[in-house]
Amino acid sequence: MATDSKDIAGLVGRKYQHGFVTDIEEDRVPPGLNEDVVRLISAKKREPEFLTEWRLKAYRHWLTMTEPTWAQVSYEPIDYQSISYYSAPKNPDDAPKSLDEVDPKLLETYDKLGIPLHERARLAGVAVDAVFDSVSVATTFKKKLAEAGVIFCSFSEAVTEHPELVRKYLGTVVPYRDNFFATLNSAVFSDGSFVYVPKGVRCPMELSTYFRINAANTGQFERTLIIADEGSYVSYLEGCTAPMRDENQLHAAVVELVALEDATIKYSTVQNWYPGDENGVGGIYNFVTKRGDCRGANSKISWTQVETGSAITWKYPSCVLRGDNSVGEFYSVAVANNYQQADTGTKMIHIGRDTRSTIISKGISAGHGQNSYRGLVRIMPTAHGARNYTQCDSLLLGDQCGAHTFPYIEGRERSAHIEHEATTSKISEDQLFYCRQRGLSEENAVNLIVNGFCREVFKELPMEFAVEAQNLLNVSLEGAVG
Amino acid sequence: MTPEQMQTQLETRLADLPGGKAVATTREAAFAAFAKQGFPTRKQEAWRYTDLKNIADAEFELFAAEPAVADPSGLLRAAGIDADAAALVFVDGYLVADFIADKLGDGVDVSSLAESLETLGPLMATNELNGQPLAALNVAFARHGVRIQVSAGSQIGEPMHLLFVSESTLPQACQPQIAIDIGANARAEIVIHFAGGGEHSSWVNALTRVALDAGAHLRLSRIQDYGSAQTHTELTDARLGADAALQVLMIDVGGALVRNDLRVRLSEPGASCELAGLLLCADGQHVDDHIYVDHIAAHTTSEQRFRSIIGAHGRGVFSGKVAVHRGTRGISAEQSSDNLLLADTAEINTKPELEIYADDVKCSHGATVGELDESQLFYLCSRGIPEAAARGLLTLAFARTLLADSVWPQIDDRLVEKFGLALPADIGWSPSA
Amino acid sequence: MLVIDGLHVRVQDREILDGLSLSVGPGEVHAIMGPNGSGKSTLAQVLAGRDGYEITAGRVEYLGEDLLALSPEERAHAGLFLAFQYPIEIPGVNNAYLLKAALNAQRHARGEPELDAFEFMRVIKDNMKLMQIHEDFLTRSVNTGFSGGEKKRNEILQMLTLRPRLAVLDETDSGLDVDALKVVANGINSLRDPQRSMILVTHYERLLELVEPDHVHVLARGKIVRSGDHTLARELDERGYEWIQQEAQSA
Repeated sequence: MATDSKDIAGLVGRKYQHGFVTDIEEDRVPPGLNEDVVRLISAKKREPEFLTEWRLKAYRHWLTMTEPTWAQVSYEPIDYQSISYYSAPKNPDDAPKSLDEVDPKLLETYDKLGIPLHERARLAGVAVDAVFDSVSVATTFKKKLAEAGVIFCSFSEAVTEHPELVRKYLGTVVPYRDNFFATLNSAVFSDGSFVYVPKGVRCPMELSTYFRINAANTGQFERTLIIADEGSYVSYLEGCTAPMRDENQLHAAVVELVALEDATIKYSTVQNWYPGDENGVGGIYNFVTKRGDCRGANSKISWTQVETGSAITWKYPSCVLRGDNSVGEFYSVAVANNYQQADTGTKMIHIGRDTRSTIISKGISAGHGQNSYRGLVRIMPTAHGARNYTQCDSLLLGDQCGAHTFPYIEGRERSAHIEHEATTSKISEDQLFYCRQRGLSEENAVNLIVNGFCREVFKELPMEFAVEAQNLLNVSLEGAVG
Repeated sequence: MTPEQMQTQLETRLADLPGGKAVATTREAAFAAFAKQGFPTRKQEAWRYTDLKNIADAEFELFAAEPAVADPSGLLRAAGIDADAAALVFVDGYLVADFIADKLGDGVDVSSLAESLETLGPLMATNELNGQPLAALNVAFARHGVRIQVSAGSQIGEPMHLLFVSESTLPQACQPQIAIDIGANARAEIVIHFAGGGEHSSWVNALTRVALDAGAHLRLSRIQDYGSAQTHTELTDARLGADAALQVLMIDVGGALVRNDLRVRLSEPGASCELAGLLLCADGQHVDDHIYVDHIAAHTTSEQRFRSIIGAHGRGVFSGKVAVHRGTRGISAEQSSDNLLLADTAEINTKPELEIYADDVKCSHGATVGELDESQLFYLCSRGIPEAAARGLLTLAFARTLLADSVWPQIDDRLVEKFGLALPADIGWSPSA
Repeated sequence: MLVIDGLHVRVQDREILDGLSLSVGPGEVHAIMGPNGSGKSTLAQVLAGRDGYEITAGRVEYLGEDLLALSPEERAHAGLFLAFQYPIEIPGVNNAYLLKAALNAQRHARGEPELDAFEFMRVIKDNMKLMQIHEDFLTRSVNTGFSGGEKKRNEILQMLTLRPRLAVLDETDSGLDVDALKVVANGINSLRDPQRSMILVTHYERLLELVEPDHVHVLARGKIVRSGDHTLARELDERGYEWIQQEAQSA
């Protein structure tokens, strides 16, 4: 009846399934960062002047900033001059117009990753904007979306085709001065996705992007901007896997969401980047700024994330609840196994009247993993009748890991109600025994209980992601119990 | 006041300060530790919500003169302490009356800080002052205070009161030290009162060190009831031996700017602590409770229950951390922070934290912020109680649940005065009862 | 089917079972009664393989095998079922999922084909009707927020679905009202079979009026101090346990 923690620690040890490197010629800027590099990136992308200037302002501001140290994570200093800030598949000029034109090698890569693009796109009715390294190479279902008036394209394309929209919204949620990593991103962002859903339109399908880091020593600086105009609805799915590699790779993305009056944005992430090996060597540094602005009354932004990958996760998808009656949600499962470190959570800033927010966070620590929840709930004096509910649970698998909870609760309005609950414990021996008495193996019993622990979050995911997320969780924890 | 100015004051007086040469070295080291760190600023995480700029910029007399006190018993009465209680009265740091006599029996040894510095040396080693610049400052300037030692096995039935009153009309900094050592399996109760202050802005920077030997039990109440202009900072540092138990109740009523640091180290198996706090503030007051419970040994348990009631223009802060060290087992920790906002301009910042490096733990925390429960209000009103009285009653009840058998009955009066509470007249629960 | 011989069990420093012996043949229903703290629940937990009990002496043979050498799930695969006195809550895991996973794990271990969702539903539907369990029950989290009676009915539903060869029911009657007790008894009786054995651990006699045992044993201070037929249960109900403990002591 080996259910003690030592045995639990023994089961860890599944090799990363998505570890391989695709051999594709690259068009790449030499390592290093200065104003010329920023101008070069902007020039390569044929950006209008306002954007070049914006990048340069960001870069100059970045030079005055210092890297934050407050997160409960530790890593070797990053040499920002050794990173190459631009890389794109060759010949961006003849980017493929359809899947048939996509480099077969790339499609093969997706196959290995278990992302059958054709089938998935057709069967699930999902439009896939696949980002390979820094530039979008395949976009589908454009026509159907166009009929609905939805703009879904790469960020670069948006800059060319819809500069007025980009200019109006870029940096209005995450200003270029926001924080060290977001500012860096603002200076050097390569590409990402752009979504605009017009007034009153319900986006006819789930939108999805697969990110993938492929070139060695190439920082990834995606920038995503989603605007849901009045009365519209959109659900956006983001998923990522990365090839195995020994060098740490920096990823500093920015996601900005804008929800106008009566609009809803649902943003789901399954993040499964390379977490490093069982000794903590390698893995992605995932330093991401994600923020949504509920700008209009009755708007809603809902973040759901399943974070199983990356060596270090530094990520706080947040909601600024500006519009009266607006709603912010954050549902999160974060796993830290082996030597992974996760410092993740959310900020809910209540500004409008009767704004509501819900935070459900489930942290799982195993091996030597360190998992921190860091969250802020701030009720401004204008947020009459605001409500927040936070439930924040941590599960420990093994006695070498850590689980930490750092909630900040700031109440400045009498009529507001804030409720925060948190628990930390190891997996229940009683539950394990009960399941085993019914005939489940210990590992299956653990999977069952852990999945149950995460259920409140999984049920927020679109169906096809929910299954994937459950499998991913089992794989990530395989070996964590035994 | 710059560190240089302080250092000059310290150096001129160093030779006269109690403790002689050995302590002088510690004072200098402690001051160096302070000077190196400086006054805390809001850039530091532990001071995120509390700004000491006013103190850092003000001029304080660091060596106040001995005041003339005509009626120490009157001070006891004013603080709500029984006339026949075992009590020591300090004014502006100076011990002015000793009402302990032989009320507590042989098991208790009470000595002045000056005496204990001579005989036992400094209360805290310099290396324990890292990250605690204010405590370091206290150690550098310490000349007043008391050391209480309860011998092993002694059962002290009666509470001992230590009353510290600020009377000075000059801006001065008073830095009392209190050391409490409870021997193995002994049991004692100590109540520390801070009062006075009036409308004059002086600063008390207290340091209390508590050590509980194996099986010792201490109930420590700390009541802060200053006038409206006082600044108060303190560090209470407690270390618990095996199976020792510490109960702390902190009540904060007055003061302009108050910061209470309470650090409890559960250093040996079986140690446990129950910490409770009631924080009241309004009218420009800023009160910050900063709690740190360190589960160093296996089978240790802790409980934190803190409540605040904030009125108009009051600003409260609660920061409570539970840390569980690697390799410990059988840890149980509970933490709650419940906060009642009585006015639109009231503000609370609460931060209940867990930092856990072991798996055999059961830790939980909860925090709530809000106004009175509407359904409870409605229930009382439906029974014929006027709304204002119902509000008063529920507010009082919110505080009462924490204070079940508080040693300080005056708290009801203070609550009613402070927030202008109305109470039902005919339920036999008058404010002064 | 089951032979317990001179079983000594210790928890921390306390001897809970002190040389207990019991033999259960195929198709037999045995009731184990006794005052609180006599070791009844310990026996049930030890048979199912719960951690934390130190077996200092004795052996348990089940279907000719050394039961104590098996893990909890291996015992379950071999057809041993424990109805828990306090069924465990597992938030987020729905009832149907656990039951299907358990059934298929057992079938898999025995080399039987696993059931698909439709076959599983066919199996479970009748059992639910028998236990008067509403269908939404299947999608609720295991025992979470269930009343005491619902939890006990759920245990019997699991037993009916898993069809064990030896069922140990630990205080299944406690906390049930008269109607629920009847439902539970019906469920138990429906499983009585010449090949299936049962051990009913109970403090009271009322379940035994509805499920008549072949043998009744009284457990006191860690051993069986008296055995008889079902009339012994009635006698205990009337006279309490005091006399039997005194008899045992004077003996």
